[in-house]
Amino acid sequence: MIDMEIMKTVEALKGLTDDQLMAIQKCSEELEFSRGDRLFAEGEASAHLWIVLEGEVELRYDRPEGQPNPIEDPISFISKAELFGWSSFMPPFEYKLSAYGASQKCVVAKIEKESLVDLFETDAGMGVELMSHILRVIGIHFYQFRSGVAKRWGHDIMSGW
Amino acid sequence: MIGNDFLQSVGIFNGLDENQLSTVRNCCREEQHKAGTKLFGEGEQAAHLYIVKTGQVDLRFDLPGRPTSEKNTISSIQEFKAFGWSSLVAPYKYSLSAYCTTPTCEVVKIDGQSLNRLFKEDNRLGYLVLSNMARVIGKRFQKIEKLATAAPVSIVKVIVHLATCGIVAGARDVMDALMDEMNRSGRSDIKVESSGCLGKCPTEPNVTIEIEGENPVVYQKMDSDKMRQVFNQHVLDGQIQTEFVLNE
Repeated sequence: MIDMEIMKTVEALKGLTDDQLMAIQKCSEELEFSRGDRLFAEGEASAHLWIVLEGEVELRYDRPEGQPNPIEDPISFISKAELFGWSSFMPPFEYKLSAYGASQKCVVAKIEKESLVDLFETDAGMGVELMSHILRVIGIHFYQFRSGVAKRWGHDIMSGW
Repeated sequence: MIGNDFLQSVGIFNGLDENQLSTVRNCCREEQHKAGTKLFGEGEQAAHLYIVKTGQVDLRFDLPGRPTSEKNTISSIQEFKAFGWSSLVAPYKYSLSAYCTTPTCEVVKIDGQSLNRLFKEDNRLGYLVLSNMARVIGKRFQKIEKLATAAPVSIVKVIVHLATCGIVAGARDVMDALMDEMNRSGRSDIKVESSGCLGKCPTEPNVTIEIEGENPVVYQKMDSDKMRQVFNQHVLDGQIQTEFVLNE
C-alpha cells in the first residue's frame, strides 16, 4: 500500500483531499526496482502514470546508434514524489522515453490510467487538478522539443541554407 | 458573433453541452487580422486561448535580427483549431509566436483567466476541455517530434517522374501515396514536383529525392508502399532506403 504521507507530498496531487488520494491509492501498485532495471521502454504503449516513492528514475532515449534524438539532451532524473508517464494521457499513448531505475533501490507507484479516468468521470474536480498538472508537464516537454527544432532550424537559417 | 455551433466544431470543446458552450461563448471575443500580423510573441504573458475561425495562423520561433518567414513555422493552425494553450497552464507564457499567414484571418480570442475560472465553477467542463486539450497537444507533439528529427525545412524536394512511361508503370499511385503522407506529416515546406522521363523507362516509376547539401537520390520501381517508406524514412528521418535506389 502506498504511503499516504508520500502521496501528500507529490506536487501533482497537492490539491487533492484525503478521500481523493485514497481513491488514487486504490488503483495503484507499489513496485521495487534496482539500478539499471527498465520500468518501460520508449515506444511501448503507455497505460500508467508513475510516482517515485523512493530513490530515483532516469528517463532517456534508447535509440540505435546514429539515429537522431528529437531533443539533444533529454536525460532527466525523476526524484521522490515526482510524477512521470504523462504520455498515457496523450495520443499516440506511447512512452516517449525509456525509464530505468537510477538508484540502488527505487520504489515507484504505478497508477492505472484507465482507473484514473474512471475516477475523473465521477469526480471531475480531481480530473481538473491532475489534468492541469499533466498539461503543465507536457508544456515543459513541448518547449524542450520546440527549442530543439528552433535551434536546429535556426542554425541552418542563420547559416544561409 | 459566433454561435454554439461554431464552438461545437472545435475539438477542445468536444462533449460540452449547450449550456456549457454558451458559458464559454460569453468569454469569447472575435478579432480580424491581416497577413503578417503578429498575434502574440514567444515569451509574452499568455493571456488568451485562440481559435481560428477563418484563414490560417502559423506558430513560429523567432530568430534575433531576422524577419519572420515560413521557414520558422513549427505548426500551421487552420479553421476550428485552437492555439495558445499556454494561457491555461503555468507559467502562462507563449512558447512560440503566432502570425496571420493568409490575406486575412479571423480568430476567436478567449480570456485564459476567465476560462480557468469556469473550470473551477464547472469541474466537468474543465475536465473535458483539459482532456481534449491533451489530445490536441498530443497530435502536435507528434508533429514536432518528427520535425525535430527531420531534415531542416525548405530544402527538401520530392520529384515524381510522371511521363507516360511512368504513369503506365503506376506513377500516379505513387504520387497519391506521397501526397497522403505529406498531409499526414504536416510538412508543407517540402516541395513536391512532377517531371518527365529520366530516360530509364524499365525502372519506372522513378522518384528523385533532393535534399540541399546532399547528392540527389533516385529511387526505382516505386509503388505506393515503397513511396510511403521512402517518405517516412528518407525524407523525414534522413535514412536512404538503399534497397530501392537506382544504381547507375
